[in-house]
Amino acid sequence: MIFREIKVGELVDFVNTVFYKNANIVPITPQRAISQANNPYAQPNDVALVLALNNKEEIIGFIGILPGKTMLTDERFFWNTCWWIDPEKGKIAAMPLFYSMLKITKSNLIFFDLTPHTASIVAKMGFMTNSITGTKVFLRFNLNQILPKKYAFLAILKPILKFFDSCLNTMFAKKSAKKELNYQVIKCLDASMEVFLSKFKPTMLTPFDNTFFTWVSNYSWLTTQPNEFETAIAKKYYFSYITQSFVVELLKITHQNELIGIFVVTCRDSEMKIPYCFFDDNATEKVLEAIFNYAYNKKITTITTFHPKIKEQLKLKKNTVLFTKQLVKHVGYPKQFETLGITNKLFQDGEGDAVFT
Amino acid sequence: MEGLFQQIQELMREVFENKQLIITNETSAKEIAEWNSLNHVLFIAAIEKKFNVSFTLDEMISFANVGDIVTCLKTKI
Repeated sequence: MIFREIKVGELVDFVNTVFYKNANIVPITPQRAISQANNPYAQPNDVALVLALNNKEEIIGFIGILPGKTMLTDERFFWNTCWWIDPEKGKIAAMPLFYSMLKITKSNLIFFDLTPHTASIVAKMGFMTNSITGTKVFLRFNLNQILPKKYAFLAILKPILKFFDSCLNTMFAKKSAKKELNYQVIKCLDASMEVFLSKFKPTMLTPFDNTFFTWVSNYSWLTTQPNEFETAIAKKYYFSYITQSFVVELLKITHQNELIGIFVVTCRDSEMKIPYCFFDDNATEKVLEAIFNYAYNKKITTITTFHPKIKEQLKLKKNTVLFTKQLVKHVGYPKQFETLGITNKLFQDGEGDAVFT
Repeated sequence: MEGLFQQIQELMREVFENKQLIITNETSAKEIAEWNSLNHVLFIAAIEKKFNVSFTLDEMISFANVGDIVTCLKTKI
């Protein structure tokens, strides 16, 4: 077994190599490579990927590292972005890859959205693990997308399912937004927003500013109009790459001309997430009203959030949603981060690489 | 040498949570049910911490038995 490191500064060249094009499995997409090469927190010599190859030079496993920045420490800090093992050939590579990541990052990393199995491994390696609960609310029926994913044979019935969705949404889904539009979609933080954000700095785990948002909004990890090469790559890539539509938007929410909230939302196909949000507790109801306005205007089918205040507020909006689903996410962080105050920080939904997909 | 071996055995008993463990140079993962890939990494990490050494990935995956670990460790301390 051979291990090979790909550095941030090598990523763009790597996805153009013969090795990459001929690989049985690819550890990164060209889109992600370009995005990570433009990471404002990365240095060219940072390791982005560690590959495990067998003696036939086939990739049997890989692990991804994303340089980041935290408000907890000035030391270099990282996120784990992926960890994949060939189910037949890669078992011997799993733990060595994981350990290599710990060594490279000096364990200064946070795991965001672990599976329960991986969370148990992370805990055994000496990290603290925690679970965060979330809510997914359904605003519109979307059976034509949901059912074929679960039951492949239903794909041929998509037109019929779409018709059912249309009928059900006509009968049950809330159709119109309130006429008073209290949000603006804007390109970057303005001065008033930066002032507004400053009061949230004590609870920020990671800095939220124009540097970060510019990177996120310009370099998503999904592509919506794949060319032939990208379509071929998607078949060899285990994680998400191609989607029908994907936008990242920055919302400035006001009430009676007063800034009351800043939200970053992502809409992937018709599903919305809230990677980042900042608002005063007493404005929760109003900001959620604005978010629902946005969702109705965009014909969003689901909203997912792990933000504790928004979750609580959503419980009060039961009569405006069709269904609710509870979610759980597992996170892991070094024990020493507790002395640095991580338990006083709010994990936003978009932490790590979550905002990119 | 005997002291080093004893320390390795103690570490193994701790990581594998088996206080009855007795090892020899030939002891390998085949003889010890608890010696899986995760515990192997935990064991290597414990050795690195105790003796203030560092193993490369290649070394870590090359160890076939306790003897290999001890031989490699001696070159580093």
